[in-house]
Amino acid sequence: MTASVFFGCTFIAFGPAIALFLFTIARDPLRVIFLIAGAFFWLCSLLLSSLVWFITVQISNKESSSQQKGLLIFGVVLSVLLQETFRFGYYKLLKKANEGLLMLSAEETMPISIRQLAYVSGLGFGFMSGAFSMINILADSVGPGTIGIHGDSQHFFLSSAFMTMAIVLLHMFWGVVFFDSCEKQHWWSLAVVVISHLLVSCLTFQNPQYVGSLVPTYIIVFLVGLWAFFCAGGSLRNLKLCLTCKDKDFLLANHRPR
Amino acid sequence: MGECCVRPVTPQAGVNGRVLRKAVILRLVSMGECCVRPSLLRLVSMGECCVRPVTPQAGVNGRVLLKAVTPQAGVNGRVLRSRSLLRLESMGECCVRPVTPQAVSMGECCVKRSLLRLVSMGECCVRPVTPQLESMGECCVRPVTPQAGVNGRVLRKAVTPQAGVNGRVLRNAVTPQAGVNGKCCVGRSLLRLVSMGECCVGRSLLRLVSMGECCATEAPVPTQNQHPEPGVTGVRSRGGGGGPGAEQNGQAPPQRPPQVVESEEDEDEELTLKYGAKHVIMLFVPVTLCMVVVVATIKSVSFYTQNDGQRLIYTPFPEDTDTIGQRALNSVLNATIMISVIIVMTMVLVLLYKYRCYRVIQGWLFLSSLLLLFFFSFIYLKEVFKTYNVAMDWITLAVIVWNFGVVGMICIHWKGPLRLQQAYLIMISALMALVFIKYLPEWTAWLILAVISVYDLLAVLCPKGPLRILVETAQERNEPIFPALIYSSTMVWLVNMADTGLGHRPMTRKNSTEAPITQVESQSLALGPAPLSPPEDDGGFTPNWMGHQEHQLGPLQSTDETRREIQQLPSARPVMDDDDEERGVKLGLGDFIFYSMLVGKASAAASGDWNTTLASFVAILIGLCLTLLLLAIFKKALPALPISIFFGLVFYFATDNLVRPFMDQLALHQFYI
Repeated sequence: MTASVFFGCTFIAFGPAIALFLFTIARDPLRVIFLIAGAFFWLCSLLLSSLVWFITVQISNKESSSQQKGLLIFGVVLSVLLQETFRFGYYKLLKKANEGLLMLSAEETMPISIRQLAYVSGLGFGFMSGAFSMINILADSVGPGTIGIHGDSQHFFLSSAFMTMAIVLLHMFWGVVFFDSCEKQHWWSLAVVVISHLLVSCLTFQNPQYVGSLVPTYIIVFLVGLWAFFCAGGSLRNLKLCLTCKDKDFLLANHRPR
Repeated sequence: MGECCVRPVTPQAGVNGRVLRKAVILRLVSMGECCVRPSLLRLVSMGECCVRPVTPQAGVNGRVLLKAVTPQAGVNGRVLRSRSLLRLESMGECCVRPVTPQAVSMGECCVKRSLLRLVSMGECCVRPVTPQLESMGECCVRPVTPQAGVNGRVLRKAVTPQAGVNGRVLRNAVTPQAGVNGKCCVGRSLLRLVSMGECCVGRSLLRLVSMGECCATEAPVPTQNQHPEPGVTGVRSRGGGGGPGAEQNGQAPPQRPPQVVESEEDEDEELTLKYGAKHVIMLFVPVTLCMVVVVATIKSVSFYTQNDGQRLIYTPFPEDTDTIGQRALNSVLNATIMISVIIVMTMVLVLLYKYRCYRVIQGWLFLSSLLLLFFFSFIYLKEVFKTYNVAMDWITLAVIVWNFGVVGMICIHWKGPLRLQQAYLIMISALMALVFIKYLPEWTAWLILAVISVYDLLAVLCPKGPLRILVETAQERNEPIFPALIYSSTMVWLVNMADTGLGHRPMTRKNSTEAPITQVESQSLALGPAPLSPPEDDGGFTPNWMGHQEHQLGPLQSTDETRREIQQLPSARPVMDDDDEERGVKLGLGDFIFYSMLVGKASAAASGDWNTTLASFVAILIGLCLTLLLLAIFKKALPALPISIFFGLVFYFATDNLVRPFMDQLALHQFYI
């Protein structure tokens, strides 16, 4: 447990997210605000779910460890459902705010589109979720100690970092897909998002067996990422144009509208 | 030479026309393209197809008219996108919105209902404007009364007559006869500004004359006054002032009755939207930096979390008592004493300010900033060196502390680069917060935070609240409020308009009263000095300077004729771009201190959990965001503490007691949610 473990795990867990933030969000103050608001909404959902969990623990039998584990699993499932509910609530709030702003402002276009909001809010959720999962572990990794000295897994920090990265990316993809399916009223894809979130969380129940949890999680990351790419309007043609620098829209993306 | 029309076309469709895709009832002229929709227009030669029904005579050399166009839309007009009711001049572009007639030649499209006649080379007015924008005038974006802006630039808001011949944007309503070489009245000035005046940034009741600047907000129309103006008193009359005749200011009287002044609320909302986000970020960054400094110090330097048994004299009751009841009682008493000290200090400050004892206030704030910059930073440095076991000799330390302190005093009290001043304000806020964290016992600190937000709410919003009195007094006197007690995100350099050949004289003036002030907090261990600048009622145009100018240039001879002449000249003076982006936003240092104190206490608490710190941090930022939103809506001084501290406290206690056990259990089993 040295500085290298600390920095390595930090960059594994938060590297993609920070890069996305620096390159796409940091320049635009409106996006930063919506990112922080998204983080706040995730925090509220966590608060609510831990309140419920706390109450159930208080009224339960504190001695029985299997009951406690069962309650914890219940807490996880509840938390996932509440997160998705709060994501939906955030979506509704943003729609209302956008309509209000459109009515008020004299311009015809909104300063920020619903797709950008989906991306930004998903990333906000991801940041907060990753931070809450990882920061205490990172703080501990700076100090002295030996991992797994009592026979636990030696890859605790590394697997936590990879899992956190997966969760952050997944939240972002889920955000995009979620908002898109709410816009188009495809309730089935909404259900798929919720189910995939539940799936990922439930995969972590087998956690000292990292192969069983990390590999399927990354497969899900890849699949959901692909789905989010197509939802956001990407296509093979776009990708080709972008990669060969022939995409006029992309090249003009930095031009300000008159 | 035409191609086939693929649909039935009426006769004479497409001489050199290409394929007409749909029925055309038009006579396409030679070299016209096919109309793809039913066009009711007569496209002139070389015109393109109208894709929507257009009234006749759309587009002489016009391109495709997309929407219906009233007659005579666009001789060389380009595409009229909407129902244009305008006559586009030759070479004019198409109007995309309905425009009233007479959008003159070389005018571009009026994109909104312009009620104006755009003069040659004028741009489009994007909002309804009253008639008679002078030649070479730019578009008025708000309704302007006649005679706004000869070489004027865009008048952003309604302007009373004769606002700003070479006018720049007047930010607020101006009553007539605002002086000749006047500067802006920053508060409710009842003065007459002279020509070459700068903008009135407050509720000015003056009329800016030639070379004056534009009013940027709605002029006080009698029926639409949002701010009741006091009566004009003490108007100094200078030569050439006068009665209604001079109000024309050298212009021919308007030919049309002035239009109704449009409500400016939608304008404000748009500006709010565009610039509000930027201001929020301008405050997020320093608040975040201050919190980061405090949390980093708390986590690394153990001095600030040690309980030495020392207490401030303001909190005499100890908290390590035997029973919880006793502890609660002690903390309540401590909080009461502290709050009453703060209240008394605030009252004393307000009284001193009201009775103009500026020297006393200055001295007081000078001493307290001295204390902070030298003594507290010395202690901080000492503890940091102790923590990291850095060997340091006294001489080097003395040099470092001396330089740090002196540069800080200069930056805060006098002048300095903006970033350096902001950095020093952040540093002294952090130092103050650390002192509070160290010396206030646990329960006392939380109680003080709660009570001070309530006090802040009352002090700023109640009509007799001391802080509100302070703010209003400062606004009346056109003075900045203790610039060093407030963190400001911008500083405005206003170039002296009078180019007397002595060179430009830049003056720094912080637009303290321009942007609504969020909060002014003065503590007992008061923060930062107040270099109260002397009341600049003459705007720097001291009698000395005026005499000097008259000596150099001869007495001012501004008459109607000369003013008219000047107004006809194209404006060569580079006008400073002082639109709304440059308006900053201000936050009191007390807010910084209490936010950082909350987050620092959250990280110093026994559990040492980072999640709690993070949760309080996000909650405070969201509270600040909401406060700024309210500020943008209400546009007056608002307390910045209540919402943020309330959210911060709720999230701190909830996270510490509810979320932490949950997350600990999850981390133990390595479950992820």
